[in-house]
Formats: sequence, C-alpha cells, structure tokens
Amino acid sequence: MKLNRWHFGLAAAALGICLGAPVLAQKPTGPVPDYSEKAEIARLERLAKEALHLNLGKEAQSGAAANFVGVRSERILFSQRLDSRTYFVQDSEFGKGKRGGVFSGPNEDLLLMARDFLRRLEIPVAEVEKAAVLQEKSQVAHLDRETNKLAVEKVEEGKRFVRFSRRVEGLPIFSSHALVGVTQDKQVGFLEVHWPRIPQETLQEAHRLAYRVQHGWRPPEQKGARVESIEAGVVHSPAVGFVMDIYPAIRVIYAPEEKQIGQKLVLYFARDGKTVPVPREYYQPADERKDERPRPAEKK
Amino acid sequence: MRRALYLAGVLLVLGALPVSAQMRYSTGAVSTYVANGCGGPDLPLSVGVAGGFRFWYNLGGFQIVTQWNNGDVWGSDFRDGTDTDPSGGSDLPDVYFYNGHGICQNPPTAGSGDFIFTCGNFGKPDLTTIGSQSRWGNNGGQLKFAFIDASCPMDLASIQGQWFPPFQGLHMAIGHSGDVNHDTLNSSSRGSQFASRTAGLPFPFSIFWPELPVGDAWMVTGLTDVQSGVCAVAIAAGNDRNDAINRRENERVKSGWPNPTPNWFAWKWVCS
Repeated sequence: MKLNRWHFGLAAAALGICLGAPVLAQKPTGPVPDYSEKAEIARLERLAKEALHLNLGKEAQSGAAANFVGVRSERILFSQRLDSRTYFVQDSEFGKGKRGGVFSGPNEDLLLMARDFLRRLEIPVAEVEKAAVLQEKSQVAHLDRETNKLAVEKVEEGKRFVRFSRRVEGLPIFSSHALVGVTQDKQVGFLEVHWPRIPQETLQEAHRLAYRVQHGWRPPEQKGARVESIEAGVVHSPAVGFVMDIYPAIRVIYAPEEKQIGQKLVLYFARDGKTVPVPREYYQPADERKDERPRPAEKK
Repeated sequence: MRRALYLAGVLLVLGALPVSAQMRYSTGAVSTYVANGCGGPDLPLSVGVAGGFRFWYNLGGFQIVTQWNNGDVWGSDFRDGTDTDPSGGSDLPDVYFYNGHGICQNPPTAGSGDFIFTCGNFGKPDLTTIGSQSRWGNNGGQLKFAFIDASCPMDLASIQGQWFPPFQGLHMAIGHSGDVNHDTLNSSSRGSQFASRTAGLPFPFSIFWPELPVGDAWMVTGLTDVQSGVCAVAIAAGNDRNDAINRRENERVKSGWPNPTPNWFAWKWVCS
C-alpha cells in the first residue's frame, strides 16, 4: 500500500487520541479546589462555627503565615497548624469569675464533651490512650509583717481540664496530647490538640523497636543513674513550632542513683543504639555560647 | 476584617525581629553534672531547652542579659548578696529561666527545703536552699518572674516557708511539686513551650496561639514530660488579697505591672 500524507495524518491523530485518552480521563470533573489563602481562612472559619460553634463575631482578625492559619476576635482565638493535626482555641473569658465561667457538672459529662470536641475536629478518638480530668486548685495566704503571723485560707477549686494521651497500634505517641476546658455553657473554653498523623513507615519501625525491647534490648548505662523504664513509641515536635519532626524511638527513663537528686534523665534511642535527634520547634540552631564566663577575680 | 500576611511574617519566623529593650531576661541551664564531678545523672536536654526558651523570648522582643550553660551557671547566682553579680546573677534581669537538677524528698514536709542544684566552676556551693538563701527584687535586684524548671523546687507542703521569703519585689514564680518517686523528666520542650505561651509574640503569631498569663501558661505546659503525681505550681505575691489573686490569674510577663509589696500570696497548681 502506498502511504501518502493523508495516512500519516490519520496515524498521528489515532496515536494522539490513544496517548491523550488517559490525560483526558484524569481531568477533574468537579469544581477546581481553591488553594488560596482566602479559601484557607474561610475553611477555618467554617470549622470554628460549624464544628465547634465558636462565635467569632464580625470583627475577627485572620491570617496565615509559616505553617499556621488563625482567626481571632476580641474574645475567641482559633487556629490550626497546616503541617499537623494541631488546633488551638482560647476563650479569654473562660475561668471562674469570668463571663464564660467553667463547666460545673460531673467529670463524666466533662469527659464526654471533651471527647466530642475531638471528634468534631476529626481526631480519631480510637487513638485516645487515657483521658484524665485535671483539677486546678488554688490557695491564698496573708503574712502580717508586724506580727509575722500567717493566715492561710482553705483550698479552692478552679478550672478543670481533660487531658488526653495517645496510643496508635498499641504504641505510645509520647509527644501527642489534647487538653480541653469547657465553659459553663458547654462551649470550648480552652483547647489544645496536638495529634499529628504518624506515617506508616514510622509506626512500622516503632513496632520493630518494641520487638527489640521485648527480646532483650538493653539501653546503654548512664553514670549516676539506673534504668527505670524502657518503652518503644513515637516522639515528635511539640504543638507550637514551625517544624514537624517525627521519629520512632525507644524511650528510656533513668532514675538518679542518689535518690534525692531530681529531674530524671530521659533518652530516646534509634535501632542503632544512638539517640534520635531532638524534634525541632524551629529551623534556627540553638545559639550556643562558646566563651567561658569571667570569674570575679579575673575581671579587668 | 481579614488581613493577609506579608513578607514581614516570614521575616519574623526567621527571627529578624528587632529586639525591644523593654524587658530583659536570662537563662541558666545545666546539662553536665557527672563530668564536672557533681552528683548525676547528666541532663542532656537542659541546655537545648534553654535555647528554645531564648528563641521564643527573642522573637517576643526581649533583650537577653546572660545565657550561661553547665559550669558557668553558679550556685551563687541564686543566693542573696551575690545574685546581682553582673556576670550572670539571677536578680539582674526581669525574667530568669533555670533548667537543671533540684532536690526531692520522700515525701516533702512543711519544714523541707526547696533547692536549685547547679554544678558550677565557681560560685560554690552548688546547692541553694530557696527559702533561706534566695531573695529576689531586693537591694537593686530586678527579677520579676522566676521560672525554675527543675524537680521539686516548689513543693506544696513547704511553699509557705520556702517561697514567701524570696518575694522581695518578685511578681511570680513557677516550679514543680513532687517527690523522689514522682518527678519531672528532663524535657526537650516543656520550658520552650512555656516560653512560646508567655513571650507575648507580635502579630501574626498573636492570632495563632494564645499569649497566656504566667500562671495559666504553666498550668497547660508544666505537666509536659512529668511522672504521675507531679504538680505544676505557680505563685504570685500581692499588696492585698485581690492583687495577689489577680496576679496569679491574669499577670502576663509583659503586663508591666509594678512590683508588689508581698503582704499576700496566691498560688495555684494542677497535678498529673
């Protein structure tokens, strides 16, 4: 068969259709997502109103910078980290003697409400390891300077918070937490949820570390201390910060040999027995001083 | 009204904020104990967490006075008479953050001491009994906020004997109550996260996480990396009852309130 220009044209069109078909098939059919900062803030405001029923009023200030997006009215602050499942809420009128007051019902109700707030923020509550009610207490005393007489008043109860710790696939996520306080109207008074998604590879390695712990792994000895506990899990950057580091690690708590010396040594080990890096809060390295402090006798 | 953020926000993140001369702060952190011949163990995270504290306070516009680590943190820095030493006394700045060892009892009683335990290359002894040796805000001292992130430096059982006397112009102090079996853990983030909530950061950070009163900030961050039974404690002094309570509940580091006459004391705590 004699091939002419028309045949080549037909073949090229057919090839184009074949190659183009998958591309055409991938084209989104729905509305194009809006990735603008404006949309980001609008989404946060919707979350505030619809999920948490926060009243931001009309004069809310909002913005996004670094890895945060936030909105703040005269009374309410609501923000979210963009690199982590991390939320902050503050009602400046939350507290005894303030307009928001504190929830005064039983602990069981407080626990249920706090858990519900997590659910509304799409935090997987199945990962909650432990929920504890923390009761703030306070006291006042008067010291009479002339007589040196001390009058101490009775202990009073203040705010209550529910603190959640986290476990995923049986592994403790040492750095995750949620802290929730509720107003007298059953609204969020204070909320700090730091519950980042943990990559599957990190969990896998943490499982391997847990296996090692169960099968005789021994931490290195530390001078002046003895091993108190060993547990494998995941450690990550804290709630306020501009970086999110996540490491599988074996946490070893050492108790001082001299019992009275307090603040216990804690080390986090990788599988090679070396300590994992400290999860960062920011990019800048610590500003270490290299010079030695002048002693009084050495001063010029 | 919605406000977008510009390059300034990015610059702030990078730490390019001009430092304000409004308030001054110092840090003292001790990681090295064993190598310097003191009782151990070492606390490898202490020096780093003081760096974190400085990051947030620098971002908040505070001016640093001294930032000594390990052997350069002296016991004498915390004792009356030597605590205004220009090379690093704790009564020089408005705010002082200490991270290192303390001493715990089993259990503490009303007559027990509260301690700061350094491992200095000068200014011995390393052990300071807060109740009998520390006085802040007197004789030209400037300290308004004492942040003692050690173990058991503010035992509830002994708070009257140990913490009322040091208030000589001091506004507020924070610490932990515990015992040898219920202790704080050396933490890479407890002190720095407390700093992030108290440094009073400028816009845009001020809409991302709340600037809290000192007492509230410690109630929400002080139980990070502690064993069960440990309490985060914050204490304030006041001219009268209402003043003491108001400071305990509402005073921020940047409130700019005058020094109290320590006639009344108000403290609060929350336990893990």
